Amino acid sequence: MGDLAGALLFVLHPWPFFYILLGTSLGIFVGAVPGLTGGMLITLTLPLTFYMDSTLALILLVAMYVGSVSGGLISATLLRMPGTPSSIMTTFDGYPMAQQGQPERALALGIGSSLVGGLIAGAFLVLLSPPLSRWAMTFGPFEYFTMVLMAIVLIASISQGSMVKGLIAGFLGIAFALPGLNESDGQLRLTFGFHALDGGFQLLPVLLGVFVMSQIIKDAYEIGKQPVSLELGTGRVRVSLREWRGHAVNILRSSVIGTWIGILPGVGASISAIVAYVTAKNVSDTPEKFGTGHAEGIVASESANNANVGGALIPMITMGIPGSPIDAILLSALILHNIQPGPLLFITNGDFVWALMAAYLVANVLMFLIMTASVRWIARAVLIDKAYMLPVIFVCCMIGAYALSNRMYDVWVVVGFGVIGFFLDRARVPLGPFVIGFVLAGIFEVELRSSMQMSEAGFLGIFDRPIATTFLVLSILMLFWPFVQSWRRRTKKESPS
Amino acid sequence: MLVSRILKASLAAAAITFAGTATPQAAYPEKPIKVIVPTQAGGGMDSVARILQRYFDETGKLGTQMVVVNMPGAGGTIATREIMDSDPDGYTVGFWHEGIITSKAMGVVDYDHTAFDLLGVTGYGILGLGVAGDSPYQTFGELIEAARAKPNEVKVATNVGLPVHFVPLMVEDAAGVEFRYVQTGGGAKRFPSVVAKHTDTAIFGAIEFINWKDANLKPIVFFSEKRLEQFPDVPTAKEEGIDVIANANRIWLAPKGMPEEARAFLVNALREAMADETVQQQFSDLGVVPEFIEPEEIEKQLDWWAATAEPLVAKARQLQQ
Amino acid sequence: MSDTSGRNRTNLLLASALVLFSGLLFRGALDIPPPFFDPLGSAAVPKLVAGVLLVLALVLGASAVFDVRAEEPAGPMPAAIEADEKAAPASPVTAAAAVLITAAYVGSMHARLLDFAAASTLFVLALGMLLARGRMRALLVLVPLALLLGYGFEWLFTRVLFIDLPQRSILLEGLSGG
Repeated sequence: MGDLAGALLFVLHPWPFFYILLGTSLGIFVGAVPGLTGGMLITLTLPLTFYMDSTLALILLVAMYVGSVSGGLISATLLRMPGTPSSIMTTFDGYPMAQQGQPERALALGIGSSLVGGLIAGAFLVLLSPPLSRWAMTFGPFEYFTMVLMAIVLIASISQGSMVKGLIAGFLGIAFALPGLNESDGQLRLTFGFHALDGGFQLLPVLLGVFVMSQIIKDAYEIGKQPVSLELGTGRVRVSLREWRGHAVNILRSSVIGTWIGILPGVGASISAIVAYVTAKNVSDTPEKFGTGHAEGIVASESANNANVGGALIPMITMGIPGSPIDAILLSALILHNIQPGPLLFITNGDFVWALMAAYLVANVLMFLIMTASVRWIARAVLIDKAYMLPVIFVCCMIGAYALSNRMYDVWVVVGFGVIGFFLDRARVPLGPFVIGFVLAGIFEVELRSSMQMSEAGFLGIFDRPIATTFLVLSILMLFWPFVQSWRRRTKKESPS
Repeated sequence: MLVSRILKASLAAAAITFAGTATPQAAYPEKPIKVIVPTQAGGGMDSVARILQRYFDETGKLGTQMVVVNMPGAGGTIATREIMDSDPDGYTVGFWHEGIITSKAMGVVDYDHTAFDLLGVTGYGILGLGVAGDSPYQTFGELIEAARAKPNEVKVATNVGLPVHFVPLMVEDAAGVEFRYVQTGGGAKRFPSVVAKHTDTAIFGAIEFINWKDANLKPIVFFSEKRLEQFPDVPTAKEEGIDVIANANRIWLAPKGMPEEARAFLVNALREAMADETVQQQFSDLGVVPEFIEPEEIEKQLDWWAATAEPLVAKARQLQQ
Repeated sequence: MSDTSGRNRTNLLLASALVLFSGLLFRGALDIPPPFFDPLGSAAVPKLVAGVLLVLALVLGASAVFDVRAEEPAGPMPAAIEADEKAAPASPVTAAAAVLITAAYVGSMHARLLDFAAASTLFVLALGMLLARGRMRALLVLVPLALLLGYGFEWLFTRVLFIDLPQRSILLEGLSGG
């Protein structure tokens, strides 16, 4: 605990604290504005952090992450439009409650639940990370390879929409990571004769394309959609302690769900919110009230999506495997700052890891204070005109991509992946698995090929490694589970019981 | 920190303006000189450029600005190709390490150091073999003994086709043993692999041994001329009867055919920079030996590298199964 | 009903594109030299990925042709929001124009016709007016914004942060006579 206390003292120093404040506020803002997302903000900020101290850079990015997941609840409640995908479940009860004349209560419930969810996940983060990283120390190539396999199957199988499309997204992501000089034998491949492709597609331009450019195109496509905001009354944005007591069980359950789903590699905050919401509805005595402005719905959704952030940091810190698409960006930030993620992080960069966790906790508290104090102001700001915002965003994208290697090629990659991302999104292919696949492809291939070099028994060597075997079996089970389920459902329907 | 950087940079820019007006106008250089760095911003290689950039900014010795351009990717070949293809006007240069030899040897590119004008070496890193603190092989002798007893079983974590791959190959050759290579990647990836004993040994830079001393990484031999003062008990390869001296040089490259005036100017500027005490201290902090090596000298070393690497390629391309 | 057929059409299109893509990937993988360092070699994973994508494309295509709905379960989205999403007027022309303007922006700098400052100024004006649907009042904000972004950013990045930005070709500079 001494480590954490020291780290907390550190992040309360003026500079770290300033960055947390800045990150959280910007995060809340982009989270609240429909069409801007946390992924966008963090990707755009990344190139600006190249020359910053690595600890401060990551503190800033984590604070943005926390803020952006929380800010979405404002537009979900007042515009019936999730400001960020993870607050989609909040729209179902937040908006109706606001419509019924209680917008302040809806917002207060959302903000409070976000804080508690974030802090509960924070407790798990602090307590679970050290032992998990010690365990992960024993992981070799076989374990990493099977774990990545499991992550890709997992994210595909529980993404929104169909499993087939989730898998398509994941494998397309892997496919785009293949061209260029490959790490395993240092040879060029799939460049089709273009020297520009020698380095393949760089992570940052691809992320800028998928997260930012595609959103710009989508916003242009939906330019006719003009949101109308509900007005806030004059009441105070708070909920009585008695009401909170009534939500205690729900909030605890939803936070644990959110944390756990966050820990699962690759799965983002929107899934957490959905699972927690559906669970809350299923165990409720009054499930019919969900979707009509029911407080429990808001509480479940908002505590789970914030808990997801803390949970998702766990695999990133302990194993170098992103717990959500945004963690994939944080991971690349670590690498850009020459910090090798993985189980040794606690040993090689212990202070850094603790500072990161402390920043996460402080960011949650600041988020609560900022949101409570300025929700009225933010509610007006979310209606900012896209015509002014989008051009600025792309210019920033352009600078970020160009500054990476000083080549216009990388800027074209942004545009190209923006178009690809837009069409995939139109075809309801989820972009989350795409990004995860792209980020994990390198680990997947390198570890697979290294394991073959290491093992004298070839692939069968995997059965000497119980953890790897477990991961492999789990992946296969998860891959076929949805089919088994739908087959069971069909046979049930057919047999006239 | 960004803000302090902005401040420092603008001060430096102001200093440049003054310096520019103070020194008499020479024909070269009359505009900023672009330095291409084959790695990302941050990190050891990039720091070499940043230290020199700061030195030139503060002293005005270059008479112009030095602009650092990062071009990472494809094992440094994107950057080296860009340097090679630039106009040889003296306004685009860059630097890299012995990978310039091994990339050609491995067939990734079709050019080596002979396609460039060499401007010298600004410091070099020392390489050594490391094991886990609780490894069964506590000395270099024990490691070689084990490799001799069980050919193809002692696992070396490596980054294929780069110096960290070729140096163990040279050891194999000299000691007449056979290792088993496992591809893991850069130093930050070889480290966990060795420390968690998935592999037995790997090449690391001296600075990595210093940084990770408390994290169970232990050097057993260095490929330097003499022992390191930080590790007085660790022998050099030469003492162990292996005649391999291999450093990671920061070799300055310029497109071939630049004007002699510009070449001499740059060589001189780099030589002077390396004689500066602050620069030397900053390089030492990075684990880089702050010495300037003359172009003729490094050319000889690189020719030796090329001649040594060439016959090892067949071995490097051996299937590890 | 027409909604289902629309989705089937999209899926069929996606499936065909994927078949082409996996074919290209497989074709490229055939040119990769055989393994020399590790037993699997560089071609194994590309071939595997091409194969998996092909299978997935065929599954998707088949379910579109045979109109299998089971594999796309209705999400937890309430009907109201689904309906709302569909009702939103879509403007493919605006989207296409946005992409074209962006491409022109990047292209003009790539060809070194314009430097960063000029290109960015024009880009912000063009994309801004497109998204503002020609409202002249928008210029009140867009003009200062464009200048700030173009010339202000150029100053900030090249002079203060020493980050290079795209420059005009020296040849062209001579032509335009400064």
